[in-house]
Amino acid sequence: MSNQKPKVLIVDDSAMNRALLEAMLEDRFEIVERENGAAAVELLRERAGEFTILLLDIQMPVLDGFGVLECMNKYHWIEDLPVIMISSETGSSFIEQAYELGATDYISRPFDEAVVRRRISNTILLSARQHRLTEIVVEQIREKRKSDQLMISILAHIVEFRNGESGRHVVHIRALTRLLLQQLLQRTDQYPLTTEDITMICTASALHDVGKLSIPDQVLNKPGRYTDEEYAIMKEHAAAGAEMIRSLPYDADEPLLKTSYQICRWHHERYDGKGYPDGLAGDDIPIAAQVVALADVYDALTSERCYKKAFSHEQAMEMILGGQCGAFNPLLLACLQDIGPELKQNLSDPNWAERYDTQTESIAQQLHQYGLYSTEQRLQAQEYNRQRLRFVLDYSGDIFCSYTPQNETLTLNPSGAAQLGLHSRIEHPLQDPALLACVEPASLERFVATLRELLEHSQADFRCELTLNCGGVPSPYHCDGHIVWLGSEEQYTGLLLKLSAAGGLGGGESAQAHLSRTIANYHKEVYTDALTGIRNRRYYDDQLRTLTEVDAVAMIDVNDFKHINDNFGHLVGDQVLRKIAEVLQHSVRRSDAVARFGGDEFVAVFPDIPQSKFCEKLQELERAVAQIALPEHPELRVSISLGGVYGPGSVAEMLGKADDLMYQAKRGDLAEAGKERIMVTTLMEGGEQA
Amino acid sequence: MTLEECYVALGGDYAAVTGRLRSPERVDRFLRMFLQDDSFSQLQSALAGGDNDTAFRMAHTLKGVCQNLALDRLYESSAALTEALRGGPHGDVAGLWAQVQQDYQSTVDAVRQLD
Repeated sequence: MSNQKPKVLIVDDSAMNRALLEAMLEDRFEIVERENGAAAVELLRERAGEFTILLLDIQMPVLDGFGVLECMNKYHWIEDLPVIMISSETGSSFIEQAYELGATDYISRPFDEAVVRRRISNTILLSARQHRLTEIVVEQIREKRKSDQLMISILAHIVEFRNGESGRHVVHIRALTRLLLQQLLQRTDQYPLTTEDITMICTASALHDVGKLSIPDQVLNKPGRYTDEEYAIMKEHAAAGAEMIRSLPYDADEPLLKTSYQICRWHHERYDGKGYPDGLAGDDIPIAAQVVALADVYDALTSERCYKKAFSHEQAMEMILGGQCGAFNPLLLACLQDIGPELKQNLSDPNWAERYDTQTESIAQQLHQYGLYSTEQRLQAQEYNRQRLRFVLDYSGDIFCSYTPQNETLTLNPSGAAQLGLHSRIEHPLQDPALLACVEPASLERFVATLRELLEHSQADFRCELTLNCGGVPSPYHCDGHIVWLGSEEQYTGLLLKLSAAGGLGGGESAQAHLSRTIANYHKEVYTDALTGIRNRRYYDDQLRTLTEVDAVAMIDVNDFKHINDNFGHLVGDQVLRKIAEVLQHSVRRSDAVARFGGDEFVAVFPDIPQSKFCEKLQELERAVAQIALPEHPELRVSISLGGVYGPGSVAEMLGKADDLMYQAKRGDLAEAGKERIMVTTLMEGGEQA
Repeated sequence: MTLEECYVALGGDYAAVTGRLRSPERVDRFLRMFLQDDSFSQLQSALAGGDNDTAFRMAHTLKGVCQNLALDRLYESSAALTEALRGGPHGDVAGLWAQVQQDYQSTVDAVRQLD
């Protein structure tokens, strides 16, 4: 609850200075201290989210204030944790460097209590305000995008229904357009497209056939083959659609309209100049129209229509690549082939396109555009928590209610509402006839009396018994409750209840089995790294980091990975990461765990391994990775640096040390080429051996 | 010796420190804590051992502590020593160190005579 004081982390090597600051702040803040930069980083690794503000000295042993700022940038902590620098270094280059690295403010010695307190509260206010503004912007972007897409979808669906199509076509085209454009960007920078442009083209793609509204019904929906005249009428839909867009009373240069115009008018042009209505050739056809044209053809072929069955992916590809369905930009055909395997897999899922077409994705892209990284993370975290909560609620078989006194509304989880035969949202519950009929009157009275008493004494948690009429049969229920008190005034903001049948109703064998299978799948999805297929950072954070008694931990980092990306491209970079992940996974034993820690860093945890075996294992990992070869790039060499710590100890603690050793190994190698890039230490003896 | 007399004896600014730290009790507490601060002794051993990096940092820390407590005389000599050690010893390090030792002694002596 929020009655805790905000936490301030003070990092200064002088105990006197820390004590002074503490004396000035302890009445309003909870103080945590560290005496050098390295200790601070170690703490932040675990608990960065806990702190409201960081007071950071510059001159310190082991790792100085600038080093801490660099780390905070590397791990993105700086975006959520404001930093105030403290130092008697008043040289402007020091101050400038600190600001450059993301520090919010600067306090110089000697400390003046009034100044220190004011600076800190200003910084906290500023960052709270920034968070709030960011959230407002995100909300507005979300709303605007939603209404844009909604209006366009309505219009596009009108066209499709008139056309006798399913309404899925628009959704498919949008997803295919996105996939093709993203692949195009991977292949070339010939077309200057931003992520914003891609989103816009996808939105506009839905309008490609809007001109069909002007085609007479008897032509449009004619079941048999078109006569030449009818075909000529049909072809008019391209120019007619463009005309509709152009005649809108808006600025024709507005990007969305301009793109829509291009798509409507030229999505039946051919790359060889033999299309309609204008016979444009090559890149005279705007790229938006070229891409939508290809997406249109692929979807038309692979979907069932009133006049034809659906072709398989292979047949469709053969027809398109064989030039039977138009002439396309060779670069786009190459993109289509690149994404071929993904498209083929998609066809087995009737709702595949939704995966590419969620609101959240376009919002996420907008966020990148606006540089609102941390908000995006927060949104995702919220969404994750929301889904997790819904999952837990729906599968537990219990009834969950939350009550908000502000609008006197009771909300039940869907399965709970269904069990009791109530609506999931009940206003003024104590006056609701259905609810009153469902709860046995005497037990309700006892419950209300208990609650009143708890509220009077500001209690939070309680247990009681309730009798509910489940399908007309009175059944005893255990009720666990939690009262939410929020804000500086500790206001009664909500009531959470969990009701479980006292007799142990529901949940037979098969339901249990189903639940555990669902949880296993859920785990697999949440804990798998999308790129490499091995365990991901979340798995480390949730499952590995908290282990306390393990024998050894290793931190692994790819040498010169940037060089690989720069010289061979990001696709090859991704391929290298996949290979390394695969090699690492195969080289450790079943009882060990390997996870992708982030970027080009991997972590390996060995719960049970003899010390001599551990060193051998690390050497084995290094050799295995060194043997990785890509047939397409024989000149490419891959190597890793490893830092290993032999415990026993907690994973989190050992990993910090392993990270340091890994960097030492990396640096040492610069001096002596050919030397092993492995550093190992043993915590018990403290001795180091190569 | 009262707190105010002590500040006169050690060459500090009593008005400034009470203004910043808000209460004489707090000044008194931290002044006594200064006797336990080990930046001076660490500076001494670093200089004796020729460890310039540590010597610089410790002179810097001592300077900062003096600045916070408005121990102006010791602040000035330790600030001068800090600059002479920054980026490698240069100038009259020995002379500046002698001054710091002398000022440290007079500061510590004054603090020990507090009531």
